[in-house]
Amino acid sequence: MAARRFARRGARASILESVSSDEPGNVIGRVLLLLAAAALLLPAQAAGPAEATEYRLGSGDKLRVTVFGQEDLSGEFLVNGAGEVSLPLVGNLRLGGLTVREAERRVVDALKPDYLVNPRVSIQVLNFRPFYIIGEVKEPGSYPYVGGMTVTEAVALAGGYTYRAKKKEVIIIRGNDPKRTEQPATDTTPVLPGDVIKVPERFF
Amino acid sequence: MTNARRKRRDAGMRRAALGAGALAMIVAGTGAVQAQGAVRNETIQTRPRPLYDPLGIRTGGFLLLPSLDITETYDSNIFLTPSNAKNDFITTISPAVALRSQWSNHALNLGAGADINHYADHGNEGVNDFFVKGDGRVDVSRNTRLFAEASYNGLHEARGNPNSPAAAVDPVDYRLLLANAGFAHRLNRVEVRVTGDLASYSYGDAVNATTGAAIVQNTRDRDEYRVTGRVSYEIQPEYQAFLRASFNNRNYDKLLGGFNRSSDGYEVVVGTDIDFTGVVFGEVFAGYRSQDYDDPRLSTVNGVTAGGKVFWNVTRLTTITGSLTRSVEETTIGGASGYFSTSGSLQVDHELRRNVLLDAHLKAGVNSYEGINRDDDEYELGIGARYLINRFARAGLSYTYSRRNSDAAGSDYTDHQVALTARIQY
Repeated sequence: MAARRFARRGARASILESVSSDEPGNVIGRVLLLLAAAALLLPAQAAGPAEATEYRLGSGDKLRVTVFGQEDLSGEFLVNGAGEVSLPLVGNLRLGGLTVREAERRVVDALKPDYLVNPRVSIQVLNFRPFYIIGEVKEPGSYPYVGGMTVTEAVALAGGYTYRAKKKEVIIIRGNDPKRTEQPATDTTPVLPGDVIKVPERFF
Repeated sequence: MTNARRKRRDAGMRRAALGAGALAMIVAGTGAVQAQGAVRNETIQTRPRPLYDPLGIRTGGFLLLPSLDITETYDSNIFLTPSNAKNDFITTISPAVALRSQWSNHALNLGAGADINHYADHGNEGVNDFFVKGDGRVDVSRNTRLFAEASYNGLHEARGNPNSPAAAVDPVDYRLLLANAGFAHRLNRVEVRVTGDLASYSYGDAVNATTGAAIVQNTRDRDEYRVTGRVSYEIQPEYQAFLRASFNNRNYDKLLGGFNRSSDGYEVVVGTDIDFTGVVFGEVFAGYRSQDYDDPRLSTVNGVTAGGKVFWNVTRLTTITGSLTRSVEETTIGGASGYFSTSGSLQVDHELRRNVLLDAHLKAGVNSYEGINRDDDEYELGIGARYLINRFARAGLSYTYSRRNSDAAGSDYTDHQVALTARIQY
């Protein structure tokens, strides 16, 4: 059972492949390797948002799905308005709202029983959805997302604050929040694709 | 995913993060993050508001700007008396038109307007003022310019002016012709400016309210001439020191109350223009002035003088203006040669929204009469709001409290005014 669990984690499978599933007593060794794998992956995630919110795919994102060894199943796909991606062979998969890891797992699960024995899937986001910025900035509108950007960079893209901007009470609405709640944001708040940044007007 | 692919993905994301960081550093490095789009020496009053400024009518190289103001004022003390104050509602209609040249070199501006006043209960107080004016500038070269200005004004004296006959049935009206011409020339850091001024006052006779007899006012007619020279030197971009000297001659045709009030005098001041990055800017000066009267019974008015006007843009939304002036003014009071008028004011303008402007001001002044024992202290406190509806209309509301404490008996007053204005313009 442990071996099956490890095999499903597509990205980490290569590290853990060397761990023999025939040694049931070596649980501590496997846990340590699991922690090491997690530690290796953490720096990659730190280049993205600094907070706990990891990016979740949404409509408009352009993905490159690569299934190792299967040219026909790989390619560039667009997430449509309903959050679905139309992949060859498996058809429409609902990937909207999932993180990249979870999306990879779902594609693996779709391919696994019927089409491929041990698929290796990697998904890379090529073009993120744009973010939107309105209110007291020189040029409100939508701008392409740049990885690792914060509110300051977003405002700079929009031409900077106007002289009436209330810089200390900027509001952000997360793109993947279905309730569209307004959250307070500071200069260093990370911006994710699909977010709406509102800069209010100050009176004094 | 293989180790190699993971490393490539990490490097890509790190490059993207560096790119965003570099962008942030460039933005911060210019030091202009806060001052984006700021115009030098712009105040709340002078800031252009493209959505709310009138468009005007373009004719040839000129812009025609017509406007009509309708103001309703409640005045609690229209005669400015110490007791038994009479209040009234005053309706003022002020049409005006301005013609401004839109040339790249030189300038010519013309204007005309009137104030038509109607008092609800005191019809006699409703006097009409008007003005016609023009000014021009010739840019001879980049460093030399000639300028001239002329205006003909029909004005009236406010009740409560100590020089105005209190017994008059209507406020005293007078005509004022103003003209000035001069040139300015700049050579490197030095600028020289020479100006000649003329002010010609012509008073209309008043009628005594009780007896119906004429109160002669044309003895107050006078011509005032003045020549001013100003030399300034730019020590640093923030400071321009200047020396200004002016000579004036005030000439009365007739004796006024038995006195020959003609006089001549001078003023010499040194000062500096200050300009700290457009946040604090203005002019301050100090010096000495003296006015000497032809009539031996009228003593010379002289003393230290100081003045200036400084604007401080506290934030992009608030401007504080401070000003001080001192001048020697004419009087009709027997035995007094003139009065030294000193007044200072502090005004705060705040832009609440792009089209809502608030202002508050405080003025204090002293009029010291020379030759008689009289000092008038005058104070004014006001608050107001202006609402710019759109390009064609704006509205305003203001409250003004004014007060005078005088050594002379029966000259104190307290006055409240509330005014509501609507303006239509094109």
